[in-house]
Amino acid sequence: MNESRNVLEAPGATAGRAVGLVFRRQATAALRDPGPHFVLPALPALLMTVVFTALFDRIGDAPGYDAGGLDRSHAGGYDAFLIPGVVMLVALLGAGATSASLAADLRSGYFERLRLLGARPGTHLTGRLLFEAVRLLPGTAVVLGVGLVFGGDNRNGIVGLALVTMLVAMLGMAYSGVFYTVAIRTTDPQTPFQLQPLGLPLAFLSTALVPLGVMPGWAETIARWNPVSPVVDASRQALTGDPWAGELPGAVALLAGIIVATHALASLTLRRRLAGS
Amino acid sequence: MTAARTFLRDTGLIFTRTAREAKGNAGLAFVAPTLLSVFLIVLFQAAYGQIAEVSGWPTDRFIDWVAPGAVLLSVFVGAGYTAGGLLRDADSGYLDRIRLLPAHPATVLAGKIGFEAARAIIPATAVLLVAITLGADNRNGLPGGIAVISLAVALAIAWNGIFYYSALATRNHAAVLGLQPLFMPVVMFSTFWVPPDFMPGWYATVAIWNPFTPTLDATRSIMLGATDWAALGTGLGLLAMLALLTYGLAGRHYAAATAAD
Repeated sequence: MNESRNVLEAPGATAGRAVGLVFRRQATAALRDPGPHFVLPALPALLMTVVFTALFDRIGDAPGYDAGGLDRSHAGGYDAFLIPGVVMLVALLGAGATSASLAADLRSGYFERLRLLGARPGTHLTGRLLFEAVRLLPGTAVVLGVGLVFGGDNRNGIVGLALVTMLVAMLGMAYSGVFYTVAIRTTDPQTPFQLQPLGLPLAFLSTALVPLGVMPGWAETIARWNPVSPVVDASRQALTGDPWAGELPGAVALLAGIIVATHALASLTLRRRLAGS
Repeated sequence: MTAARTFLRDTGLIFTRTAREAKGNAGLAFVAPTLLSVFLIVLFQAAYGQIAEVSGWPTDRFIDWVAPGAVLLSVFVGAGYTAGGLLRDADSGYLDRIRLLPAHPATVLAGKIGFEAARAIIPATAVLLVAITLGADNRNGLPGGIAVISLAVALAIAWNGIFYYSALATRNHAAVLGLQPLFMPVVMFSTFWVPPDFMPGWYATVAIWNPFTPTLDATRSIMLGATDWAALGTGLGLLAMLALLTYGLAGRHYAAATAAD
């Protein structure tokens, strides 16, 4: 606490140290209440891993499936196709938990006090964003582990797992900017719960669960334009194909662009809100 | 006026009061359960609809199989509404004021449960109509539709018993809200999405023994035009047992809460 006060009060405090302090503040709060921060993000993806591998395994026999990209000679079949996609649901259905504390801080006047100290409010978004990425790592590891037990395939060892984990963390960061923007505008700590269902269409109308070839025309069109699809394709490539193929750089560049865009939007919204208060 | 007529009149007043509250909160009471159910079947139809083309699938289209479940799903996702209202009544002192009146305390429960049953009709009907519009079979026409809605009502009465028991036993809003996701394993580990032949053995065993499955199978059989009377009888029997158990326990807590000091 003393260190925190010193950095925020010191005029020359570096943004990096301030971001680190915000990160630690988030981590401390999350460790006090680990369920919503570390366990809940993994639960929908875990449930879907168990249920979908059991129930929809035979969709691999449906017409059009080969054209969609499933390698039928692949030992894992549909399960191997599903796991690199369903793990992205850790980010899509678990992102944004730190937006609740952002809204609460705005309501409580915490940011007003920061202005008196000369601290840069933007560091609060960056610190939260970084914690958001770290927060998703345990859930990602669990879903990948269970997914491999339930028929997933990993041809690229630790490199494949590390790349998929990085993609989930980046997707969580990219998506969290949307939560921050809404939380700043509404100052409602319930924001993460209200926005979470949006992750369902983002996942279902992408290549996360099934290939394009088995979707109806309207869903296929949406899936082709859905930014989640290239990320899932890169994840699939990382586990079951050439991890350094064209999908990965494209997905990383896309996610980096979305992180910058959504974070800039959240920062702008925060600046406007504070300027107006 | 006989005691029975007085009880019915007072129950009607509570029903009307609850309905008026729900009308003012239509988004939560009626729209959300409808939209969530429709949303889920549209998404699953988009992702997994092609599974109906696989050899051995028992219906013409995927939506024929999932539509009956979607109607019942509207009950699950909307559950707990009036149980939460009962807790608010307890918090606000409304139940204490009822004790000062000659009304029987049970009228509050009866009126709210009656409204819960009536409330289920609106989302269930809306989901059924959307499903039929999307191409789902309803081979028994209007009588079949009425039977399907009636099963949704029976499920609403029984399933909400769990929420009433929780509300009265704990007096905690969070405990009631926390029961909401309970429907997920009930739905997921049933024949909701695919028939048992498409499941691995362990999953099929769980689904077949899932107490929700007979009600779901009966609803589906009505919509597909070949009513499974055995499933219907079993399903209604299980719902009656659930209702007796939960409302029996809830009633004991309620009687203790409203007893004269």
